[in-house]
Amino acid sequence: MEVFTHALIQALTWQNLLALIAGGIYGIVVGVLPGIGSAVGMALALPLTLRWPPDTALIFLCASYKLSGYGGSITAILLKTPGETANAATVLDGFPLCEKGEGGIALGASCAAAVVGGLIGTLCLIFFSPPLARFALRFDAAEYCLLAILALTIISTVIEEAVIKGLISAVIGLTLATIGFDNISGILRFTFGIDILADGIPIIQALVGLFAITQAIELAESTETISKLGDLKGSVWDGFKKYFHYPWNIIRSSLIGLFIGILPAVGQTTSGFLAYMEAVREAKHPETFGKGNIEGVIAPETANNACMPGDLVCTLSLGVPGSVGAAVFLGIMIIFVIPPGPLAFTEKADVIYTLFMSLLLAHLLILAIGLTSFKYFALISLVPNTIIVPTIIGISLIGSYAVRNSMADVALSIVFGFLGYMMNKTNFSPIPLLIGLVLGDMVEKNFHRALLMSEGSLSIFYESLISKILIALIFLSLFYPYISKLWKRIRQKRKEALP
Amino acid sequence: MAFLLQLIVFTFFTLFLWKSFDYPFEVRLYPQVITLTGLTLVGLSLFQHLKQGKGTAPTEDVLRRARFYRISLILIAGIILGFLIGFLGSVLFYYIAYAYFQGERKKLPRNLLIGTSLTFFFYLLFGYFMGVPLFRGMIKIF
Repeated sequence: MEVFTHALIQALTWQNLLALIAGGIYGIVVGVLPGIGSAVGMALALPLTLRWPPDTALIFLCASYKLSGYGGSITAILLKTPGETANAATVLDGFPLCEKGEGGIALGASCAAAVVGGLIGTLCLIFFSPPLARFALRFDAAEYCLLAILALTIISTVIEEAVIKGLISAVIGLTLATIGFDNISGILRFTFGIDILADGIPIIQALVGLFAITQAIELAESTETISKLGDLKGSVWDGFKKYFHYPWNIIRSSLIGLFIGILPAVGQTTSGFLAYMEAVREAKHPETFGKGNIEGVIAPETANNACMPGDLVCTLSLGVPGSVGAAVFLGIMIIFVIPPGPLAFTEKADVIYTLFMSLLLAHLLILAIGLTSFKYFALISLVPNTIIVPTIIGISLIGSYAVRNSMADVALSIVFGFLGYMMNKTNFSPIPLLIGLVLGDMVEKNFHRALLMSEGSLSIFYESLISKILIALIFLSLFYPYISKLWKRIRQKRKEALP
Repeated sequence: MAFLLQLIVFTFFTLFLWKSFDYPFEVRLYPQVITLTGLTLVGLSLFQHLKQGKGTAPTEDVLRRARFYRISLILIAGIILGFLIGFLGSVLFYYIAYAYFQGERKKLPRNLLIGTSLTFFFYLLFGYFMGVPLFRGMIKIF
């Protein structure tokens, strides 16, 4: 209890409150702008926060991560343009509601969903993460190595059509992580005579390049403009109250969001659609969905908002990211010297619990913005690409330079930007690469430690029960896409065989 | 492009594997395990690629490709300009050049004004308030 009281006091200091408000507003702006997701938003804001105390910086970035999802729902309802892919399911009924002149009601329900779903998710994060982290303390070097490999295999195999490409991407990340000083012998490796590589590939530059620069290039390729802002009718407050008329939908969608969030690699988009489909399945009049049914806004938004803190459960307690945004957040934690995994709860408990308290406070911010000034945020989505693209590039390059005051870092970001672009175009996801780069050090260190402990015997990797379970999960994640395909084919054949 | 990228990745892993033999056994063990895994995966992927055959190549969106070349050119030119006149100059260049290449040539004064204002905003935010060092370039105009 004392920890929570201290964390609350810390969260209420003026710097942290200001960071929370600024991060929240920034998050909504990022969420409102289509094509710029929470991950890009965090990557762009990172240079701004590098000189801040870790708790203030993490509060700013986490608030932006949390509120970007809410921002995306505003444009999904008003403009039929989801700011984030996670809000795609909200469009299905949100925009028809707006067309029917009930846009205010849809926005009110989405605001209530952000508060209720988010609160349920955050409470789960606060109460589930510490015990999970305590359990993870039982892990030894071999188990940690296997855990990181499990995270990589799950994230790499998430795209069923490109499993091998995902794995290649992860291995590229792991290989890039070997550049620089070897952490056992101190020998300089794979620098190819380039001095700047002695410290390894910096995560910030890779992150900025793979997400922000790639995004800028992709935005520059498309000239699509966003439709005009629709008329806003209907009371937001009525929508807020109406949300609570559907308690079963709220509970079901929150549980879906939480479960999907805790699973590594399955993100908010899946949770939103899954909750929407469940709402349709359970509805008395499923034919009304897609034509402006308020439950079609409540379900995906509640699930999305419960999913985001769920994503952070494994990220904080095990060091295994649950989504792209969580992977970026994990990288940011490392940049601020907060060890990912159970050590975060012992070595930097004050920062982690302050972050939890700030996340709880963020819901008050959503409430304040959601009921008053949402329409002004929707206007931001009308900013043309000719301003957005150079702004992303400018901020990215300043951020890359600011870390080590080196123009070589800027060039490195550009290289990663083009690499990310090429990868996206050829169905190679850059996400496993980033996670491989982030977890590479952890894998190698624990690989060596395990071998030292066992005097070179590989049996250490399958001796304990935890290791055996982890190995089984690694194989399951590797073969799951193929099993799933096979299962689908069998079901299809069975269907066809039926008269 | 997929085949080209896979060849680049194959070369990347081969280069790392070849270089790893320069280091003692304990140092090279892990990188060799990783790169050999990578090479196996790329081999599998290339095999899949060849097995699938060329098929019907997707129609190339000429306009998209042209836009990609433009933004690439702007990015690289901006970096070179950054080396010479510093960040603020290159940021201003990005705004003007990008708007110009997007076809907003008649709106040059407006874009110049927006670019200058936002560059000044960047200076205030990063250089002045946040104390983030901004590269001033070889010529040091800004």
